[in-house]
Amino acid sequence: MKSRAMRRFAVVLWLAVLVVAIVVIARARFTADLSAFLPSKPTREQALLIDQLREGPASHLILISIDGGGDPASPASGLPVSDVALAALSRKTAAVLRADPRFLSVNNGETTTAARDRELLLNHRYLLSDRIAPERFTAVGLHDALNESLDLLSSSAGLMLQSLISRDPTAELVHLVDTLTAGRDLPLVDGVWIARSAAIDAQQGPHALLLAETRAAGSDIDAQESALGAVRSAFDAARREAGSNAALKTSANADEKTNASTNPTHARLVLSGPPVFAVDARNTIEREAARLSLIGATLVALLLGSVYRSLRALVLGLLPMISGALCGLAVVAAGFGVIHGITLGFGVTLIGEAVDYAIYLFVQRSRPREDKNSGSNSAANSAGFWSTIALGVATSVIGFSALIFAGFQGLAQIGILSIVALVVAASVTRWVLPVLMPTDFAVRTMPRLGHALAAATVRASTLRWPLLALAIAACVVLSLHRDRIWSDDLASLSPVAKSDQATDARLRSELGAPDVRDVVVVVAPDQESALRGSERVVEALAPLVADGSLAGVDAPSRYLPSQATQRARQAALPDDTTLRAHFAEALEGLPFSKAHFDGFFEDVAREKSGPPVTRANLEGSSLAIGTRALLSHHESDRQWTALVALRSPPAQSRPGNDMSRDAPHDVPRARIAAALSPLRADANVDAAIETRAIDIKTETQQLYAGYLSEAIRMAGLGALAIVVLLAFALRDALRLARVLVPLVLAVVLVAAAQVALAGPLTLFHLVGLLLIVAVGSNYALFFDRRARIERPVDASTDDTSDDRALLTSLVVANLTAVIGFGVLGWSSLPVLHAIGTTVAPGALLALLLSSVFAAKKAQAPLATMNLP
Amino acid sequence: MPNKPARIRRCVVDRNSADTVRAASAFAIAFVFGCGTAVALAAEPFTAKQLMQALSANKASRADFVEKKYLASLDRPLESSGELIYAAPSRLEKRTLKPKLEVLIVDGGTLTIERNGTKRSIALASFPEISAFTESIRATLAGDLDALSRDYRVEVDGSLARWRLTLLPSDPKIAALVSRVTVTGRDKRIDAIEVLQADGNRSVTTITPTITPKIAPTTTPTIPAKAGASS
Repeated sequence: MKSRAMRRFAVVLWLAVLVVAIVVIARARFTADLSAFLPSKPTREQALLIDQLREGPASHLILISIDGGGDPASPASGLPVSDVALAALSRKTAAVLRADPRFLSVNNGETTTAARDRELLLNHRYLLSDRIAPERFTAVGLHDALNESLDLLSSSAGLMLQSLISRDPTAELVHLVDTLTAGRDLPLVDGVWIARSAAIDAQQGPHALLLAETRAAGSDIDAQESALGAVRSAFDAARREAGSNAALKTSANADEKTNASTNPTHARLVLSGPPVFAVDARNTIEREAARLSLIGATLVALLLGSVYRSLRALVLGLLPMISGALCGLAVVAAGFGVIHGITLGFGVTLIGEAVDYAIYLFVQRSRPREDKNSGSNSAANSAGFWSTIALGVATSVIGFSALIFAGFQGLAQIGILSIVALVVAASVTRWVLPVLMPTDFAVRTMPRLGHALAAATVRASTLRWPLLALAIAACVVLSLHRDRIWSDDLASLSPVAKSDQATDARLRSELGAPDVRDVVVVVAPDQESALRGSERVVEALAPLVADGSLAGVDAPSRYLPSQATQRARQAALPDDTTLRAHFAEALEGLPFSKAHFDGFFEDVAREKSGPPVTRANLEGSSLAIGTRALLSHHESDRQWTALVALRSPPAQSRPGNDMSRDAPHDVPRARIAAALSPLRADANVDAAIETRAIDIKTETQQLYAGYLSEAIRMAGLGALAIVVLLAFALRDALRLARVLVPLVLAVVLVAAAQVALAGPLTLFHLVGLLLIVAVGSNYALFFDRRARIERPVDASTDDTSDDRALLTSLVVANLTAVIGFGVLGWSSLPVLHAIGTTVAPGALLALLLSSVFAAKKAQAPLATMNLP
Repeated sequence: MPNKPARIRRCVVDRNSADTVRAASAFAIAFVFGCGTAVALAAEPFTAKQLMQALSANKASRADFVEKKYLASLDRPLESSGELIYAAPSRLEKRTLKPKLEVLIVDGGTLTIERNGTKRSIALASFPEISAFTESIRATLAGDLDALSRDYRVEVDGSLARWRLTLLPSDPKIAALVSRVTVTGRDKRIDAIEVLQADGNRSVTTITPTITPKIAPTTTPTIPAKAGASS
């Protein structure tokens, strides 16, 4: 009676837990923010870097290309859309987006801000120009400036100055425009950016380029998705309109062939940039989590259905797995606040593992009746069965614990989910399933398969030496690749497809905005300090720009000088009387007697006494866009960040290097550090301003390498803990060895195969190797158990049904694991792909190796002991 | 993901389009008529059509120039000199050697100015006004008087021995910048181009064919220093 109450309690508890779990999950938030897979304990540089990736100005820039199509390889696809038609599409799309509040700015080369820019620069040239200094307004300084202006006037480039010379005799406006537009020339057709590449690649025909800046932060993926939708619908509308216009023309001309070939409806929209990647990643995760779960679950259900031939058995068999997954997700949701999409996708793998317990139970319970009656060792066997399961669960839990300490929130979620799910699934199998199973419950034991398997295991040991030889070969492969076993490339973890990365790089270089590898980050408590910091960096790096070590620097203070600098420039401007006197002196010997310079004197006087330019003054100009791109405010810590981007000199500018025009030279980082060191060391410099040079590529690689080595260390500790646990449980060196050898060999063989066939291993492969140990330990332990229980001394053909059932259940369990993980191998997400392709073959190998290295059954003393 | 650092920053401040148009138009006109060696075909009656046909025969040529700019704000004209190079069908190059090295190239649809070690390009098609000029160049070189007439009223007077071509903008956009362009020549050669800007400023370019003409224009940066050769 007591045991019946206990049983009832177990079922009630189980149902209660499930209800709670479902409620928690229903209220959980899901995220696909891949920065969960970035380290949680970074250095200061890494923190700044990650911050820029998530929230920085570049994180909300959409790169848009309207491709004209036209594939030379297949003339049937038609001629490319004409440049003029592309330009029209670009204009229309941009016009719609400019009116859309979701965008801060849309730039397609059109000079929408030109008038505003000119007005702003002309009105504030004496505050914005970096040439304003006291010596420029002495008689000598002014004389030199006027001489330069004369040179400019005589040149073809001097027409801009002609009409302004009396107001701007020192050509400050020309200088401002020159410095602000340096290196920013994109080919224009009909007033908009049209790029064409000489490459043979058909994808790179003529295409219009646009750059859209979304209002929402880069981390707001919903907002980014809505912005991307706006871009697509704006383009579609523009294309439809162009298409109907073209159709009208076609019918008018009755010359269909010509017109159809350059039909603007052939134009194609290509989007890139961080918002696109973030949205794509989330959609991929959601889609793949759903798709792979469905495929995995269906395949496993089909397999189990064909084995059990019973719907009831199938449903019962899935209960532990479903319970485990629900509880695991609920714990993750409660513990982390959000559930990551990848964690969800990873739940698929639990199908492959948690289902095993039920399989073991069913097969064990379904031994033919006479056999069950004949042995009073049934209870002892049952106890042994559950302790083996418990040891398997404990091994897996230790293996997964390594993930929790790996320092990535995403991996920690996977670890917790797995541990909770396995423990719950095993508990449900142990205490709930037996209650739910009818007393006459039985599944097909497939005696033929059992016989065949039993026969196979007898011969399996002959494979020992070949497999050891193979393992040695694998070790040779690993030692040959010892420098390349682990990938040091963070991009290998990126969910962004290689082709998308290439498209992004191409659009960036065409937009004249290649990936900036080196930046100096200035963090300050307020905007003014950040701008002052930016100015100091520009000043410190000026010698490097002057000698060509740097092609240039892009700093927010170029667009918006600090108030301090503007006040210094005001102070540098002479008062009206002095200016007139100096200017009169400067004019001597120059042919300016006919000119009237009153406009000049008025402008200088106005600027000298007027208010400095503020960020609000820049509104509506391209200077505002430039400032916004490099100067940002963080709500979280109320800090201001100024980015100073360093442009590396082009490769061809150096003699002796004709390698590639595209690959720019590295910047001289040691010299940059030396130039910036006074800013950090100087006590006079505001202590609150923090200046750091960041080599983005090296920093991200170090960040990843640090975490990889940390994860390897944690995995090593996890493996050691597994060995200790097994040693404690088995208390026999030989048995320990028989359990460990298959696991070690499976890991070595899979690692070698991955390294040899698929290239260096990533962090995710490491997780996969850990899972091989977790899953494979079950098989090894069952073979260990099998060697210790009843067996006839005699040949394989007359094996006990118990043994055959065990072998059958192991094979079925293994197949579900291979299916569950194998399905992940089809994922396009590196994390799921790596785990799938590692664990599926690893699990198979672990089973095979366990049978090969298991103790021979013929060792009979134990069997005799077990018999009554 | 993490390999996408902050990187795009873009601030495009466009040059005043009107100024660019002026530069390009003055230059373009200088070229249409400046580089060619006019080949007279018939004596009388002398028409624009005949002149166009003569000019269109040029495939490649080279000439020295001296340009004088008369600006309202200056007491004396500003003088510059250098070399003009033309290659059919669409490449025109103006190399100023004095007072300061400057290279200005119209090639296809792009105008490039190289000065003080920096190079700037603009697309002529960005501006309909400049487009009109490039079209006039091509139309002229192709002997297409009709195309030229779309933007200008074309007048020719004199004779082949001493002719004068006057272009008066019919497009108000162009007229806002340039009031009149006058090209004068004798027999097979162009002597001068005068551009009168709408603001009263004026430039006169005198042209002397290079004594040893080369077949093809060079694109190498080294060019022989021909100090201010003039007619």
